[in-house]
Amino acid sequence: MTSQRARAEVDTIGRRLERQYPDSNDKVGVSFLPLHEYVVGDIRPVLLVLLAAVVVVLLIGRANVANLLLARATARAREVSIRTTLGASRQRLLRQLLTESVLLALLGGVLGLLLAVVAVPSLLALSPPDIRQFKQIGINRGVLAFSFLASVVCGVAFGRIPALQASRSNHNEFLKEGERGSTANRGRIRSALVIAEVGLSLVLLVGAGLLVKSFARLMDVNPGFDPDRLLTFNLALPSSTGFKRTT
Amino acid sequence: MIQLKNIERSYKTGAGQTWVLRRVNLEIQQGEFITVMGPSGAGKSSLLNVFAFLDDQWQGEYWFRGQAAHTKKRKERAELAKKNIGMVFQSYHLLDDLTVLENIDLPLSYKDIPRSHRQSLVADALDRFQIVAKKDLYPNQLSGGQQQLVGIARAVIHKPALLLADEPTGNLHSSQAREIMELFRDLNQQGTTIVQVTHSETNAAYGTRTIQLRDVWPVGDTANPTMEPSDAAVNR
Repeated sequence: MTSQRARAEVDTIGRRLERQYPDSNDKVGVSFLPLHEYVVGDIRPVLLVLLAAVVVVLLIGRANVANLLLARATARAREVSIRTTLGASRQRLLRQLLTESVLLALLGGVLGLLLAVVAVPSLLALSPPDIRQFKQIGINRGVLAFSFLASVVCGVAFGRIPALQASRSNHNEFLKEGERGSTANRGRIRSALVIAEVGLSLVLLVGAGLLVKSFARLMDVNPGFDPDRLLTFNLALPSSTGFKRTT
Repeated sequence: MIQLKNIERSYKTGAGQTWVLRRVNLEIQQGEFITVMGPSGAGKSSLLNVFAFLDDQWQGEYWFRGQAAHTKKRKERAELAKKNIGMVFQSYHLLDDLTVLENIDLPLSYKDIPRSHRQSLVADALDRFQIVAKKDLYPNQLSGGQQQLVGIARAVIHKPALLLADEPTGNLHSSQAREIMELFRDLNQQGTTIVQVTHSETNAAYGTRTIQLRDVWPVGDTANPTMEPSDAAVNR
């Protein structure tokens, strides 16, 4: 049953009861909430924003690593040229360079997981205590699978550019004495990566700034009473005590 | 073995073209030991790059062991080079993070050779060049002469028909240079065709034929004394 249908049915029942027992049920409605939403509340959009921020951070990190790999590829142009001269095919070089970048990414993934193992309990200690599902957060099989997949995809996606660059360069330029070969093309890709990094960082910073601003405004809202030294609590009155409705 | 007909090479520069080789006509027989000489910028290394198929932007005809290399695709030329050509460089170009043994094995690793056969070939080469004791060392633990020895072992491990050497003794002192040149002479006597580029008259004396280049034009050839020195150069 969909939640809409359930809501409609409960509404109908509520109206029927209101007609049937106008004394006790007048102006009493029924509200309907899925259990999940009742427990988690309206935290979903916040978590989605957080996830988007994490993805952006990951992209910034990868762009940074791709940049470093490109710098390394420039330094390794001599090696690639020597290997080409000795008979390495382009596919073979690509395979070698990609294997290296995927291994690097996997190593990064493992380090990230280790960091997560250490950091998750401390972060959870900061979480609001009334959201029980936070207690389930931890390193499980799903997290491991996702980390593995993300590492491999990042390794291939961001290792490809430097690998292609290195295998395409003009090899005899790097074998000549005292020459470093052309780096103009590499410069362009690196500029593009830096631009992407700065752009993504800006998005993240603006988002964080807006969040801080909203929070500050929220704290400034006048609730219409002095919240100082005020205690709030919920009370549930038993239905059989014979209280009569007065409004 | 090699025949070059009207080989020319130029680079496009901002305004026009810069020539690095002009109208090179050359025939090299199997078993020759050729020295290419000339001042810096004369086109010596460019000519060597053409020989090695490291450069494929030239015009003209290049016949290699009866095959028309000028009609072949880049990949086919690379295959031809892989099978037939070994290269020795002035600065050795060994891979720093590989041991002597791994460096020598590198060209074989790019061929379809069974591991056991590869190992025996490498062992033979280490033996032949008397560097068995150095096999587990890294290039930076060797002297210049030893590094060049490894470079040569690597270049001839797959028994190439043509050995190309670009200033092979340029970074070595004279006694090491002599050893390397004697090694080249031995290799040549065992049947390897060698083309070396050098500034040194002493090294040139090991060769059987000298080709002179000047200002990107061939201007002299000891095998062809009647060659008009720069008949074309005059008409530039």
